[in-house]
Amino acid sequence: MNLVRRFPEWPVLAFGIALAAGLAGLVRSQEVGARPQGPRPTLVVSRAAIERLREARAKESGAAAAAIADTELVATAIDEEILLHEGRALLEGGGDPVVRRRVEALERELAAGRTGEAEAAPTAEAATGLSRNDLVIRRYLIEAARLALSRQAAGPPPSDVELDAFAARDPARFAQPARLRFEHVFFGRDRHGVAAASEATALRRRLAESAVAPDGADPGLGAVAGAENGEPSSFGSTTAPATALRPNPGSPASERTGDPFASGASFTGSPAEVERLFGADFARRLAELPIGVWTGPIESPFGFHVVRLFERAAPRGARPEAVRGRVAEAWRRGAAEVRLRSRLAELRAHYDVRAEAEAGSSIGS
Amino acid sequence: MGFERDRPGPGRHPRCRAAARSAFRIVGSCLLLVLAGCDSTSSTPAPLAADKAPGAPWQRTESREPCAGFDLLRRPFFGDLHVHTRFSADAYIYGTKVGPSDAYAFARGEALALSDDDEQPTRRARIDRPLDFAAVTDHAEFFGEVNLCTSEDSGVHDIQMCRDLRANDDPNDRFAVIVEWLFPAGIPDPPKSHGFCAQPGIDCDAAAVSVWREIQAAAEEAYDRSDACTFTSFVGYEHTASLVGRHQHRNVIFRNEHVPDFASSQLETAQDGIPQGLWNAVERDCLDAGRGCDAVVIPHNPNLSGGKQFEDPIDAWDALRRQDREPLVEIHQIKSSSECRFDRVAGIGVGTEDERCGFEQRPNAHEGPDEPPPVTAKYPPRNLVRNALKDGLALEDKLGVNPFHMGFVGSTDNHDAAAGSTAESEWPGGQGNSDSSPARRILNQIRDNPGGLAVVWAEENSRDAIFSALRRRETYATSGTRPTLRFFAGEIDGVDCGAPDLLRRSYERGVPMGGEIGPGRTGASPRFVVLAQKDPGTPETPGADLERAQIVKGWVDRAGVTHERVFDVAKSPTADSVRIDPATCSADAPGSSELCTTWEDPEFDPALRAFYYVRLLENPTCRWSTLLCREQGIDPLSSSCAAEAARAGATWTDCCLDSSGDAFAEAVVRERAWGSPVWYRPDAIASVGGAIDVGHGSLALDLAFGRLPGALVSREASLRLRVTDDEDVVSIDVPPEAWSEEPAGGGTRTWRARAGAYDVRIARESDGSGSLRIEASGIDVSGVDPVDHAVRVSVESGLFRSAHERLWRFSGRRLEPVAP
Repeated sequence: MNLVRRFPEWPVLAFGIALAAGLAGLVRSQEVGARPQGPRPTLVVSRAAIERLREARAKESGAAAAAIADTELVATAIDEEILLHEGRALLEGGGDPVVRRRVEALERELAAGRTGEAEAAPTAEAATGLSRNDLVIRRYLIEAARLALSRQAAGPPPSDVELDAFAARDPARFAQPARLRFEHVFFGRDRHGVAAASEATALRRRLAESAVAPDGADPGLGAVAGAENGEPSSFGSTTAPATALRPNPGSPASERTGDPFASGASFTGSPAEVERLFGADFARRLAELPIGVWTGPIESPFGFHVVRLFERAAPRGARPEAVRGRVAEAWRRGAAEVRLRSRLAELRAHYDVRAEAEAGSSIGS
Repeated sequence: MGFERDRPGPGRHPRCRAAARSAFRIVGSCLLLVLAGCDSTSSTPAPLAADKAPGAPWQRTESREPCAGFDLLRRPFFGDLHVHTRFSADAYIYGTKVGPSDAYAFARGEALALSDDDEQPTRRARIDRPLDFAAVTDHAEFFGEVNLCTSEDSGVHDIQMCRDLRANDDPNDRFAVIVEWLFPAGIPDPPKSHGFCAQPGIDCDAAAVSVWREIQAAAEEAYDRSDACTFTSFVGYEHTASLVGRHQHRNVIFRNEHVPDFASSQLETAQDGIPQGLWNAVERDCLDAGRGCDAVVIPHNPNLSGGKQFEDPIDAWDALRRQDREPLVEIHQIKSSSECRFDRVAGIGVGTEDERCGFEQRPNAHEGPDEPPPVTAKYPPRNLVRNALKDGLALEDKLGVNPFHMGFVGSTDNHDAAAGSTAESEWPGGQGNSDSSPARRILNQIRDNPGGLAVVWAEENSRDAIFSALRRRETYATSGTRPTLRFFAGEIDGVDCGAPDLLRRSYERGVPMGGEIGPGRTGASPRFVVLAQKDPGTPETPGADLERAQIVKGWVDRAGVTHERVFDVAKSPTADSVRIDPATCSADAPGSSELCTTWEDPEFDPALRAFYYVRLLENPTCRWSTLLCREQGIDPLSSSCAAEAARAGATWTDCCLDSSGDAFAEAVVRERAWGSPVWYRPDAIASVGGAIDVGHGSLALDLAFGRLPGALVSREASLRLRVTDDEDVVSIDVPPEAWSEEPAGGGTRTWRARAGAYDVRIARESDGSGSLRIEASGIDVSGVDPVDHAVRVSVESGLFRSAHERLWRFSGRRLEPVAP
């Protein structure tokens, strides 16, 4: 098959971690990033390349293509031109034999695809090196260079202290999600029909007047236990007084009402978890409720709910040891990216980078 | 029962010891070791509080924070326990280059790079809703070989076999490579590894250990040990026995981070039989290894096993072993549903007349080469879970043990590392570049579906809680959507769907899905409670309404003949008339947002073994293939489908299979959920009365039996009786010689024994019923949690096992079951 013809775009953005893993062990990193000798090489970033990037970025992020800033795309395009140049250097005399071998294999595969033969001899085009502008090989060289740069000066695995410090630099990333804790009385739409909302409203009024909990409802035992144990509120949280958290076991039988809810009459979890079980609209309304007050009814895909919110805790930092596994993963992925960014920044000084649409103007340094 | 908390020691498995000696001789392997943390203890979490909420009916076997969202009455958690990444040879062959970390990231909601037709990661996918838990289960066969073949600086990287693995050919040309790579899993006496592993300097065992460690590291890194409990990962792998294409595949899911040093595959275990070889390995390297390891084995794709997945047990002990090792079956996944089968063209089913059994079927009964699919009359009955469950009842009558005592989970078997990618809308495929583009999905994999999900009812989202739910079978499977389904059975009197305390009362008086019940006091039918709510969906794709809830009953009569019957127990007002609206590809009438009912079996016979499970059907929706074909301008719901497909080209012919009279092709599906069965056993514990008095250190419990088990009557084997919450409150063994018969009183015969502080008495009435009473005073029961919680009372003697688990109440320093 013709690999070139079947690539509709240059999906460089889709590379990265996955292909980097596939390329593991490919490149001897010391050959990459060596200072170019002589005059600074000139790299030209074409407008077409930027537009391809824009399209790929829009596809990846779901954002409108027009909303993606040119500056961001130009910076990415420059990086890729530098990486391509560095990758090509790996093919030269002092470069990397593994990369050379792989490119030769790709050239054979490309040739085989065009001729339909499994082991075609390199074409004249390949022999002259022209195929190294081939999209497939360009992408390979970029990724080979990217991997090599990211692996340069890779140190030993980080200590716990280093991991904790790493996490502390980006606390939001490792924060525990916001937490909502509430109980609810449910009126099913199918069971109560059009009266579901009005019955729920009536209950909410009674509860507000008597300040009692519905008798017999399955109480949120976790929530109750937390309140009874005097659990301190978390940083950034809003919590009702402990006395408001305890369902009243002595409320009169006449208050009994509501339907069983399959997931239970109380819930503690993140807004995302609430959304997954109760629907997006319910989760959005819940986030706006006052604390400790019976409110509603709030509609869900199942019916109507009279709700009492006990706690709305903001995202907050977790204990370091509780998230160290996630931090280690982020460190492993992030450290390579940091090394890559650092090396690319250094390399920029050694190239004269120009944008095609702005001929004559240097956008590198 | 306590779990040791020691770290895994040096390799115990012979291959692992060799691997440990030479792991660092392989540069490629060492790279992966670096990625995974060369020191296998480097991912060990620092000690955390190992507390758990009072009343949790399981032990905390790991270090983590207790979950803030603990709920004694349990919550549904949605997961995928069957996912493949680049470490599976077949996934790599079809272009999957992403690994376990990527699979877990996808499950948590991050984007994933999928391979395109050219095996380049140019496609992006994101799950519609994050999962609560997942397990990466790569094929353990050839872990090492795949590792070495994809590490460019390994000594075998450029041999032909490795080049074949990595080559980018058209998927239709890759069958030869699949055969070349996977044939050892399909022959009776396979080599332990591929031939190139014998080359000097090549150590496939070390490379396999390296992969296994990376899988563990990825699971550890994805696991949320904070009290937010947002995501749980499990370490696991697939054991892939495929003799002549008859799939006897099983996933092994480990409870915590204490796992074997080596993932024993079919290549290591074949000589001991299927599945006994795997059970041996799990017992040797995990359950009996004294390292705090625990595991369940989950068979899947019986529909492709040629009748081999659920064969008769060797003997009763083998049946009992299967019951212990394999509490679950994966009933639905990407390669079809395995519940039951009905051929709508022939108008017959495989052991069933249930016309709703045509859902997501593959024509073939196995994947043996060059054999056409069997006609329905010749289709192997044991390819289907419902038939296996029925036969299990008959085998229990014959052997005394039901070997097929299985609850249900669904999962994907996705080979793109896309855990939980089950949305029909814009489904990106799941088989590498075999279905990486719309054309290839239709051309190559139209019989596939996005796969299912595993749902567990657990107190919190942690490994111990979810694993315990898997073990007790309080699970259900879905075909990919996320409805909520509760199911209880027992003497649940006085409870109806208007009772806000329905859940508590059901746990107090009955068992949830996956449990067992004995006869009631009156010999009348147990009471069943079904409570289901629709999948709320997402803002972009709202969930479908519910159409109906059914109870599927299977039983064995006095002649040993098995039967089944399907009862509609709750349905929406439009259930019998709702159709698909071709204009919108959704139902033409609303269904129900919830279904709730209580039900009694009108044909109940207390003398006959039976099982009952719920099948929940959603309103009709368009299948993924229909949505995709319509995007191409071909409408499978239209009478002009064939003409539209002809205009589009031969690639799209299969868009119109449904209209050509294909027995199993479906343009419209009713997504569904299957709740794990509840088993009715005439000789099971019928009820438990009495109390544990924590204040006085005494206990008196009465176990009633509608039919006193033969083992208790004969008293030829030791009687083991346990009362357990998160640990043993009572654990006593009564040897046969300890019994003495008391003078007869009326028609009652009574035997008495003393076991330590416990006085034990068995009474047998003339009608065959009986009781077991234990009493003790001056015992230490101070460890009992002073809250309401689940208590399990179990009896074992010889082959007989029965357990009675209910939510007990704690009041006035007494813990006691609630009287029916």
